[in-house]
Parts: sequence; C-alpha cells; structure tokens
Amino acid sequence: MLTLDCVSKSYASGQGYQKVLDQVSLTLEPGRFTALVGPSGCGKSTLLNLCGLIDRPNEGRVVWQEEDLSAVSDARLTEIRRQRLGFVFQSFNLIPVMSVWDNIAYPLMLTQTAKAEQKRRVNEVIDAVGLSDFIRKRPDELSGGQRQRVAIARALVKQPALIIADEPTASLDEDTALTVIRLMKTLSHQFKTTVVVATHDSRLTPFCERVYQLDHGRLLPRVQRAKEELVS
Amino acid sequence: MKWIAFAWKNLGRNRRRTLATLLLTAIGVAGLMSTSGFALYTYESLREFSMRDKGHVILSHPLYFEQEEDTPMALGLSGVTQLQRTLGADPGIRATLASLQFNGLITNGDKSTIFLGEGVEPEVFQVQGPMMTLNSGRLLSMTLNTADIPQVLLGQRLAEALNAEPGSGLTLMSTTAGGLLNALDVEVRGIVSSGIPDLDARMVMTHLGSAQELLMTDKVSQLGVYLRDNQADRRYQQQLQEQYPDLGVTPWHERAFFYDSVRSLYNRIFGVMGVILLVMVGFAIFNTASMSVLERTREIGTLAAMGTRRREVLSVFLSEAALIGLLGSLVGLVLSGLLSLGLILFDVQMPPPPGQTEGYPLQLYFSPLMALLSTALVSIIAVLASLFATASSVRKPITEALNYV
Repeated sequence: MLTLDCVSKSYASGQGYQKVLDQVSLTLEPGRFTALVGPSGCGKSTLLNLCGLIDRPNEGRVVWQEEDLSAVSDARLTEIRRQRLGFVFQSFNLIPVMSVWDNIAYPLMLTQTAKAEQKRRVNEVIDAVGLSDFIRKRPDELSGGQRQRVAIARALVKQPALIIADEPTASLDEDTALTVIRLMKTLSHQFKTTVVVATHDSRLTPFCERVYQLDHGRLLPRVQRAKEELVS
Repeated sequence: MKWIAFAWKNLGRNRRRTLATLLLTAIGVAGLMSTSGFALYTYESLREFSMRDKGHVILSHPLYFEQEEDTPMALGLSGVTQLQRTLGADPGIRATLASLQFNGLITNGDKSTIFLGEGVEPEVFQVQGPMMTLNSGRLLSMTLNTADIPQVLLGQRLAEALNAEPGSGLTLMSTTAGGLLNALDVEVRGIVSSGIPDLDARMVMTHLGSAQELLMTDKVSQLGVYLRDNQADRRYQQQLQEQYPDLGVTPWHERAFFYDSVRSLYNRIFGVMGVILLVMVGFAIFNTASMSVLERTREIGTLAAMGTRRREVLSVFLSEAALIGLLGSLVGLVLSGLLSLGLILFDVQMPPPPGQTEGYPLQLYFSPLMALLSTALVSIIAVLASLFATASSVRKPITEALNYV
C-alpha cells in the first residue's frame, strides 16, 4: 500500500542540519495494524508525517499504491489525504466550534459525499465508538477519552485506506488508553483499514501485528510480529 | 456543513473580539452613510435652490452668458411675452418668469450707494417658494398700475445704509439701453434678507416693468422656465434647443456656480473622510483576522492534514471577514437610519455657513444606492484585509502548523 524507500529527513538546526531519519525503508501492508516505537526524538513522528504525506523526505522515495510521490504536486498529496487517509492526533485536534456530529462528518463534506450517505456513515461510526448520545455536544463538553473516540470516528468515517495515529493514547489515563487502543484495533478490522501508530506506550504494542523500532533515525533490524509470536 | 456555516460558527469563538470588530465596522459604515447622507442632502438642497432661483432651463440671448454687454441690455431678449404664451401652453412647464439684471446708484437724497438690481415678475415669490426672508413691509404687489409709484424690495443691509424703511422714498439711477443716464423714484415696499450679508448690502428687487422703464427697454435679461418635474430638465433643454435654435438655452446646472463649488469641496472632504473610515475598518479586520489565524494555527494544520485545500482554509477566513463586513454594514445602516430619523424628529440646526447669516436644518439623506455601495466597499475591504492577514499563515507547512504552540 505505502512504501518508503531509503528515505532520509533532515531539519535545519542552529548552524547546520540535524538528520532525523536516515535511510529508512518501510512497507505498510493493507489491513495491518502497525506500530512505530522508540524513545522521544527518535524520528517516529517524522516517519509518521512521511507516511501521512504531510511532509516530504529529503532523500528516498515514497510510493503510494504504486504511484511514486517524489515529484507530485502538493495538490496531489492533498487529494490523496483527502480521499484515502485518516488522522488521529495526540491532542485530538477536534474543531472546537463544531459539534461531535459535524467533526465526524467533516471528512465526508470534503469528499462531497451525498447527504444521505454522510448520515448513514456518521451514524455507523458514532455507534461503533459508542457516542450516539453525544452527537450535539461540542468537544469541550467531552472527556479526553470521548474526544479521542470522536477523533477515531472522524478518521474512520470516510473508510480510508490508511489511518495515521500519532501518540493516540499519550493524553489518556491507563484505562481510557486501553479502551481506545482496543477500539482502534477492533474498528480497523471492522472497516478493513490499515493503521500505523507512532507510540512510546508499551501497552499498545501487544495489539499490533507489526512493530517497527526506531533509534536515532534508523529502523532497527528487529521487527516484532506480535501476533505470530503470540501464536508460537 | 458548508464553508460559510463553518465561518459563521467561527465568529462565535471570541465573541468579545468579534463584537468589537463588528461595532467598529458598524461605526465605519454609519460614518460613511452619515457623511455621504449630509453631502447628498446638501447637494439636493442646493440643486433644488438653484432650480428654483433661475428656473430649470434659462432662455436668453445666445451670447448673454458668454460676453460682457457694451451697453445695458445689448444682449437682452426681446419678444418675451409671445415666448411666454407659447411655453405656457406646454403642460410640462409650470411657469415662465422673465427677469432683468441691472445696476446703478441708489440714493435717499443725502447718501448714495451702488446697488445690484433685478426686475422680476411678482409671481416669482410664489413660483420660487421661500428664497428670502421678509424682515419688514410686504413683497411686491401683484399688479402695478402706470400711475402707481414703482416699488422696491431692499436688502437688509442696504436699507440700513440708506436709513430706509417700508414707505421710504428713494431714487434709482442707472444707464439706459441707449447709454443715457436715467433715474426712477421708487417707494420701499419691503426689506428682505437673502441670508448672504454681501448680497443684502446691494440687493434691490423691483417689478420687471419698473426696471424696463428705468433702462428704457422692452427687453429682458433672461427667461426662466420652471418645470413640473425636476428630472425633466435635460429633456426640456434638448427640446427647447430644437424649438428655439436662435436662443441661448442654458440648463440650470451651468449657472449653479455655488452648487458646483460646494459639491466639489464636499466631494473632496467627505471622500477623504470615507477613505479614512474604510482604512480604519480595514485595519480592525486585519487585526482580528491576524489574531484569529494565529490562534488557530494548529487547527489550520489539522484541516490541511485531513485534506482541506489551502484555498478552502483561506475561504473560511475570508468568509468570516465578509460576514463581519456584511453584519457590521447592516448594523451601521440601522444606526445611520436612526440618526437620520432622530435629526428630523429633533429639528437639529446647523450654524450659518461662512458668509451667510442663517443656519439650516441638519438632515442626512438615506440613499439606498449609497447603502449598497458602503456595504459592498466595506465587505470588499474586509475580505482584502483578511486576505493580507491570513494568506501567508495558511501556507505554513502542515508539520509546522501542527506543532505550533
């Protein structure tokens, strides 16, 4: 689905440049729940930004469904994100002036989905995240866990091929975090969506089918296949 | 949810700031409407005054307004009675009034001074309406027999200079059409004030026949054509030009020098004020949009990450500015409407303008066209100000916007 081929990324820092990612190659397979783990500053978020097509590498290629995105325009990247990608952020990033319903329906408005279809899909994901009684509430009237569930529903509503989740449990307490993780896992299966999560939360990794470890901008050779290990 | 609905909701984020910007916009629009309303009222009053003064269209000798006369009435108009009869048959013409301008010396026997005279038909006071104030005595009589002593109306300051009062006897001296000196004994019928002190120091009005007797002529200086419809002036000007190709046909506005100079002056003064008000509104909205975009940087990043195009994000901010512009304009229009109504109800008077002795009622015209123009201008300025404030911010890289604290 998405392949990162020998990508590197540097940022200007003081007098010079700091390399955040160094020759990282990665393939996200359809339907997989993948985690990027590692300590703070190891490059997880940068790698996730490249996966989410909101940033471009300095070197290497990003290939989306056999389309090399190295030379495509920003408008094309926006179009792919608009149609095929969903995002879940650490701080939820809901639109404060919109109701729960409007927040979730927003991606469908972008894709100009018909009203009736919007209604059906929003109802479906709202039911799935268990927030049917909160559709008229605004984000500031919800708890942290509820907000993250709205964010998950918003990411899922357009049935994207890929969901990018950056530290989705970092702002939540332990119980809520586990609930949210289980929900993401369940829904990704239910909606057949690929999910890639950047996290340093070790509670999350047992739920992932692939775990990639990053250290100082390099992907370590160790690839944990949680499910297979559990089976063995 | 459409972008405009999103923009509408965004206006509620910081209500105090939105309200302050809205009020400032409203005050700007009310200011624009009030200044333009005052200017329009002044233009309309002066237009009305100019039309009433000499008529909507003025018939004269073709060169009367072009060159100086060598002798009095050398460029006068003859055969006026027949002309008046013909024009009087036109249903669109309310009245025709002949007048004769002359000058000379006026004396009470002890003291002489220069005067500017006008021979008029006595109906002039009915046709023109209130153009001057009668301070004492009466207006010219409607008929004047040949045996009667000629009557004059004097300007207030001229009457004071000559110690004249109604009933006083004076003598007018002037050069006749043939270049001779002639004198006419007259009786003061009334003392009037035009509101312009300099004019009141020289003004003499008498019957047209008396003026013609003094100048020994049957000509008149000009014939004012008064129409029933103020808007028909251009049509009648054209019609009379075709009808009387040998006469000078002058529309009222070509002789309305005061109207032209006031209009030119006010256009500049109120034009500059309008620009200042628009700039003020522009800066207020620029400030609001700048603050708003700064506070919502992360949100802009989120929207962009989800696939919202730059121009769509920008359109939300521009819609917010347009909404403030439109709402502020509406409030401003209501405010100016109330102000206009209040001035009529409470009969507020303006002080006399320079060179005049009488004030006039302060009124503001509420022009629908000006309302539309003000609203459109303010809304456009609002959108442009917002564009300047937000364009660079919405182009910020998504990762940078998402990490903005």
